[in-house]
Amino acid sequence: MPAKYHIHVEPVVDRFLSPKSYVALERDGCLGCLECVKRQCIYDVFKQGKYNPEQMRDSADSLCRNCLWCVQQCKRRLFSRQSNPDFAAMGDEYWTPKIIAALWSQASDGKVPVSGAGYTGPFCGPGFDQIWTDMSEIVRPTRDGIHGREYINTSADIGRKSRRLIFDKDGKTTNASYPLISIGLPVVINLLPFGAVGEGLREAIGLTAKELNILAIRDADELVEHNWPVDTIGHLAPYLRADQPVKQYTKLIKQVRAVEIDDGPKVLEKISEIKNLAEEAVVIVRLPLAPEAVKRAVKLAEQKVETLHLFADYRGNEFEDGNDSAKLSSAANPRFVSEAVAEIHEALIRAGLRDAVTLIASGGIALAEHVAKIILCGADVAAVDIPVLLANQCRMCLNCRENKPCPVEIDNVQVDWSRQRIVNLLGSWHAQMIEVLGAMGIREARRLRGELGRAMFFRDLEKESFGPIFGQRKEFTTEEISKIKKQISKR
Amino acid sequence: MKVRQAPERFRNPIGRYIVLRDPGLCTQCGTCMKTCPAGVFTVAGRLALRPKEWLCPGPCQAGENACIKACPAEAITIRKNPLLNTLGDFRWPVDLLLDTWEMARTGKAPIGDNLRYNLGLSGGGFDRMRLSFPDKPAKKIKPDEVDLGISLNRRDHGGRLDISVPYYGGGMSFGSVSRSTMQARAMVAQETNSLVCTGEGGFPTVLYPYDKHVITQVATGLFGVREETIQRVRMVEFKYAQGAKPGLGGHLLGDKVTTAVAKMREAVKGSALFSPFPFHSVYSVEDHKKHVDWMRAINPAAVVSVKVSTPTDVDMVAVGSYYAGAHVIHLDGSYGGTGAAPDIAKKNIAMPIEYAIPKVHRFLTEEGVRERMTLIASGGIRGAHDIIKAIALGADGVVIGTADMMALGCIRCGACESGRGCARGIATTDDELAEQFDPQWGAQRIYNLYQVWNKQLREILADFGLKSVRELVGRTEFLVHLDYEGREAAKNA
Repeated sequence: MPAKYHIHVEPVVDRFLSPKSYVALERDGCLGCLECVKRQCIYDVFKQGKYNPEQMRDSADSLCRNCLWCVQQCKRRLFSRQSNPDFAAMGDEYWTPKIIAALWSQASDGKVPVSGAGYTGPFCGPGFDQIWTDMSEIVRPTRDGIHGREYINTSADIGRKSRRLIFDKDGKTTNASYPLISIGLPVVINLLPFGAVGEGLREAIGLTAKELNILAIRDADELVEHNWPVDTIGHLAPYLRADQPVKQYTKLIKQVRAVEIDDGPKVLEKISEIKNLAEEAVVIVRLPLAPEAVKRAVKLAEQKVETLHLFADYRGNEFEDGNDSAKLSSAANPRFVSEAVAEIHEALIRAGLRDAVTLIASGGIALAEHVAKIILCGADVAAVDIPVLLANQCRMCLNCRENKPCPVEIDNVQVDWSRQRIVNLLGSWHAQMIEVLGAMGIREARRLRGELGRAMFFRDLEKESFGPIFGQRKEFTTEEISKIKKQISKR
Repeated sequence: MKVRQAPERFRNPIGRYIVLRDPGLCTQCGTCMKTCPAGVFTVAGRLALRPKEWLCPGPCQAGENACIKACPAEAITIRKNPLLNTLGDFRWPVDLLLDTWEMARTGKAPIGDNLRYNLGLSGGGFDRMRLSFPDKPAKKIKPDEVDLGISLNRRDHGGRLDISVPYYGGGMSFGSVSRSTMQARAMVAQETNSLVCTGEGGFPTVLYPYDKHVITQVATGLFGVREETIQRVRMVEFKYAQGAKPGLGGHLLGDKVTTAVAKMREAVKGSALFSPFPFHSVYSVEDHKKHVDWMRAINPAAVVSVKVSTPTDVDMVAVGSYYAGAHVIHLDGSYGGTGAAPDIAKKNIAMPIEYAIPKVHRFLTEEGVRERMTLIASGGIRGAHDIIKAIALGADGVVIGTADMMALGCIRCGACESGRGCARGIATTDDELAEQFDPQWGAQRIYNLYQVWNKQLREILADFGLKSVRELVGRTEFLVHLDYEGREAAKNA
């Protein structure tokens, strides 16, 4: 058995004080009584909190756990709490302030987020919130704190797999062997749709990919420029746009294990050009998710394309037709990435081609559960993008798109700080994946792929449980759906 | 115990409004005291005291505030409490929180629309269902005549166990909650002839006087489980899984393992305690039967409950439990839970209870064993309407957890697990923090809340034309779901 996969997380101090959901207010009028609530705070907020004049924020807000003791016990009622407009304004309807804050905290301590008082969110929401994962009452692998739990393998393979072994008369296998990249987590780092990316973050992404034994897809020119050492470049996959010819990157392609290219009319020629240079390299074809993508995906699989990267926009919506992953979809009624991926997964199964091709899915992968859920829907690997920026304390202000300065100076991060933040985030995701896999009784992330029997969908549950009681469910109109989305993002 | 005022234990209780009386303008004439119907304005001797703003119900006289109108000096201003913007969530919106606190304080239903304290904003499940009252009930029944009692043992073995209300207290262990919390809940269980579960943390001696109303929980860590604790009680609960963290087991952080907790759990102070998942001795229904037989051998009179989470095959699990000899199947849906749990588990693993109840009810009925099995539901039951909805969907009764905590003054800050634990002394074992409230006060609060629920339950059942809550089981005709075409719109929506 290979060495156990382990991600080393360690707390990393924030560079900037992040906006918190609430801010504490203290009015004048203290009479200096002996029962001062400031001394009673069990979190020592008043002792440790300091105002940072440069960032114009008080660290007390980060230390406060919102128990309301000071608000409710001060004799003069001098304390109050208010929603923080800075916090509520972050992100968008998909990348809600809550998601952003959750990712910040995972990046800073690398832990599985834990809280009390039950679930506080909506019954069900759009996108990934339509899916619940199953569990089993009596399962292995067991979870035992004293003896350690049984090992749950999270690795995934990128490339084409032989369907069966063929032996010659001497008992030797005669299969053509295909190049296959094994990664420790079913996650690759995607191209970033935006971000004030500087040298520090670039280097950090490369080092993270190496440390975690995953892949990071990076712009080809950037890789050439950076001149990565041999042991790291294998974890970086150059991305060649349709207009970037292979022959300009000969040296780079010979060094790497995977290359990602755009789909297009000449995609097959481009693949063979790459294979001629580097036989052992896996070629990943980027295919935008759109209503027509299913036909194209099957066609490419028939033509022996070994890996497809199916991408939606960064809110997880499919495109109208071929599009740019950094832009939002303009489709009127886009399907969500999980649905579009499931369709392709099923079509490939019907065509008998599912194992001939690896599916990488991206767009809207925001939380650890999204990785598990997109794999349940049929992807082999999820590609993450914005969470990498959020790990670096990005606030999704999108200033970078207008070339305005980044409020948290992501273009200026130190390599080691940034690397550990991303490692922490993915370390937390790894631990959370294990929680979910363990609950389902699945020992291997690979076995999760397309396991629809271990997923429960809102639509099915409603029909099965409520159909016999309440009849037909009303369909939501598009306006109603967008209203619901807005309500959810407000919290 | 009687319904009695149990005031908030904090100096500045949270209300809907901020009431200000400008001392510069006030002439201390006392008009406001006479006009206010809620007792906001009080005096000590001749001195007007700070307004008790948390009592203010808002515009109390034809859409206006009587005190503002009456005050000759125009000294009173009332505005919304800005703190409310920071309280509440989808499942427990701020109105539900405030009204639950009020019910616990006064033992009376708040003035105003009863949906305000019976609905959340989660947008699905119970929150989209409404009660559907018949135009004319089949029988004319007075609320006082309605019987709320249910029987937990409907099989031909084990002792009889009838409780007077269709709900009992869920398991919160000593370790996760304070001794005062446990004792308060046990006092109420005795007073209302119901039950309360110990959770997996042993049987503290403070609970001995309430033996007959305590459920001993046997969970995978077997903490504090001894022959003696099983023989003490009338009901034993096997916890296979729990809704807040299905399939994950429990984890009591080292900080919470104080000397007392360690002693109770026969463990070492300061070291984290794991309840592994699952029971290492149970991998089949036969193994499970062995468990049930084991309990029955130790305490033949015990009623055995099996607490499980809600996976896809929860119906099969329920039937399996029946054939293993259990009396009660307790489904714990994924949206409840009181203690600390990984956020990823709370939302994503296992189905909400609203789906599981009809599924299991139907399956047990088809199997022909429904009459002999008691079906209990938990995981997100917040008030009287939720209880009615759960029972109408097919449960016999429900289990309460979070609502008890609300009555004790929980504000759902969710920081149960951090450092010394709950700052408000509910979910902590820190000696100093846990001494914040007297169990007697806590019991009164929970009791008050339950009495308001009981009154509502009786009124609703009477309006349905039902004499007993037992007649409501599976009667889905009393429910409508706003997102479905099948029924006419709810009459009280």
